[in-house]
Amino acid sequence: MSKTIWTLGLALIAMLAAVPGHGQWTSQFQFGGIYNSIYLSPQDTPTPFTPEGNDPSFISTLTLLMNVSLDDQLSAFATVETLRGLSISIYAMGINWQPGPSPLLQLRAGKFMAPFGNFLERRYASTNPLIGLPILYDYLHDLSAFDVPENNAELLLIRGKGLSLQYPDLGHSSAQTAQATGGERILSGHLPKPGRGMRILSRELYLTGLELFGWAKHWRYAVAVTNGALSNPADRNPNGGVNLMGRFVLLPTTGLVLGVSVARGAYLNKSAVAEKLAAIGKKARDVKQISAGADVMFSYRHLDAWAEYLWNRYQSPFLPQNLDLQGWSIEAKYKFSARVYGAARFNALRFGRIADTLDVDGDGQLMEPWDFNVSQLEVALGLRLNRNSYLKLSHQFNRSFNVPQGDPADDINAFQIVVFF
Amino acid sequence: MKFYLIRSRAARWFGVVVATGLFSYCTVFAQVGETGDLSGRVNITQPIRENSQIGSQEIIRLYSFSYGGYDATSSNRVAETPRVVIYLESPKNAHGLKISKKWKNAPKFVTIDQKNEQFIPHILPIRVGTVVRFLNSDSVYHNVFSLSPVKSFDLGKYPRGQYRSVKFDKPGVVNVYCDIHTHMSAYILVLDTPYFTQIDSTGHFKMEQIPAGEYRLVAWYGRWPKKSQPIKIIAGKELKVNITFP
Repeated sequence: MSKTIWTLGLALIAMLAAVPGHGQWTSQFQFGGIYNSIYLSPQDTPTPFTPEGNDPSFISTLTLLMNVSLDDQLSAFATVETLRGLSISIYAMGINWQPGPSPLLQLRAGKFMAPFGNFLERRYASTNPLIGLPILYDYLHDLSAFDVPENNAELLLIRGKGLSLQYPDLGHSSAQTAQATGGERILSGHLPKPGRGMRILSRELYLTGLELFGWAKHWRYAVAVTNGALSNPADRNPNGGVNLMGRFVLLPTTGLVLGVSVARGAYLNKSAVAEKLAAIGKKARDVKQISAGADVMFSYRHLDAWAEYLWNRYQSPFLPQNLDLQGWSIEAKYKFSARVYGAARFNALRFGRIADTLDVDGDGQLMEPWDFNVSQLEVALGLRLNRNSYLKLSHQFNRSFNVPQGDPADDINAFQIVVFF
Repeated sequence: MKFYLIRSRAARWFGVVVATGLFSYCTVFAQVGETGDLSGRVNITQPIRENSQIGSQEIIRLYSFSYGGYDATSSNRVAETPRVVIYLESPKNAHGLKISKKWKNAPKFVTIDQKNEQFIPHILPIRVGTVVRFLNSDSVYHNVFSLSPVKSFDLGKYPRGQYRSVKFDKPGVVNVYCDIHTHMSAYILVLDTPYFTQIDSTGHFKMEQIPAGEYRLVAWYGRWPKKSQPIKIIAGKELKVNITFP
């Protein structure tokens, strides 16, 4: 299916090149960048709240954005990001085409930011009033794209370990697998080295494919066919499936934006899990992540406020139930003066309960959330140094609930400088 | 006795009226007799282009569902004639300026409009103490702000038809921007002299009834280096000055 998407995309580009009369060829080149450097205080206990690890050093990122309007109908865009000055990633690259005079029908082909939720379009350091990202986009839970738990117990035993994830090998107890294999163990166990869990919505949610979108004065829409999935936007379609997503936004009045988003895609890396899934007659593209969200943005005077809600389901091939979760985020920014603002964000993840027949944590509860429920409150103060730069100070209160060893001490202090041009 | 008192009171009132009229007559004539006119033309030799846009923020906004995309107003933007400001300073001390009657009463309120994602006017000269009303005539939010040392403010977001006011009580240049649409910018030149004007669409300017004396004439436009030269206003005469800008 990925080949189909690429073929369609290239066909679109060829079509555009062949269509005569693009009108007057004028070129407008827009270029800009955002540099930011973050210092995170060292944590007593690194947890999935600290995806950057426990390295108390400056983490610097430079994001370059480009947009070229070739004429009234055609434009090209690109976003490049470097992390710690070492790796360069092309986050976005593609073209936009408006076939007719109306902005209600536009096409986008290439690698682009997923049309989902209201946070992604302000994920940049210059538009995010805090330093951290909402935990919907940043918290590493205990599901991996490269491995699958074979039973509930394996999943429940590594709750809270999304930063360094390795499923314990309890032997397969899946009746379905045993039946398929005649009772013999064919599964090769789990990955020998720990990896990272997935984010529910990847903070680098750029997917490759085609998008149909449109803008009107009081509403906007986007539907996209891409590779990857919201949790696993990896390049070159390792999932072997197609991700479908859509977003609809209503702007009933100035300063109020209401949105809904849906997505469905395969989230597992097909080469990593092919052998395991073959044992039960499945493929990676059959194992889906299904998401539905609602969001709102409100602005008036010196106040900006955002809220986002997400319902998410992971299908897991060996488990007797789906893995559901809900998450929400409420955020506000208030400008006290031209130079000083305050911001706060409260967000939470609540994982669905699954059967804990082995009572893995010995608390007598036979239904447990499939990862520890977590909540986070971040508060920040921003100082505008000049028109092009900010200084931010923030504190994150991070809480994990019902952890047998107790809530880890993983609150974070952070300091960030942002310069944009 | 009674007749004497009546005549005396009437005479007093008559005297007051005559004296007042004579005083006013003398004052007016004294003013007219002590003033001259200034006129001229500013020759703009190269296009004045300003780009306050912050590329990264404009691109983010362009692709934003919440703020960008739909843009019915950009095609309606007008290309504003660069209205260079001409003003007079006292060469010795600004407070030593004599103020003629014509220039005494400056407007207390002036308006900058936000229309079609532009500040109109782009350049606004005002006197110290003037209140500027920032009117939003667009159907989208703007967020007017300034970080200038002369006057720092952030007016927040307000809908179409509403305005917010700022009083400018110190002389200097105030750079005004929109926090949402970075291509929007304006200058407010706060002056402690009442003698200022702007060129018209043909580059001409005229100032009448300037008290005779020596001044420094200044031509100013935004980021361009200002031009200044000493002039002398002679009572009853018109001084013509031509300036090449920038």
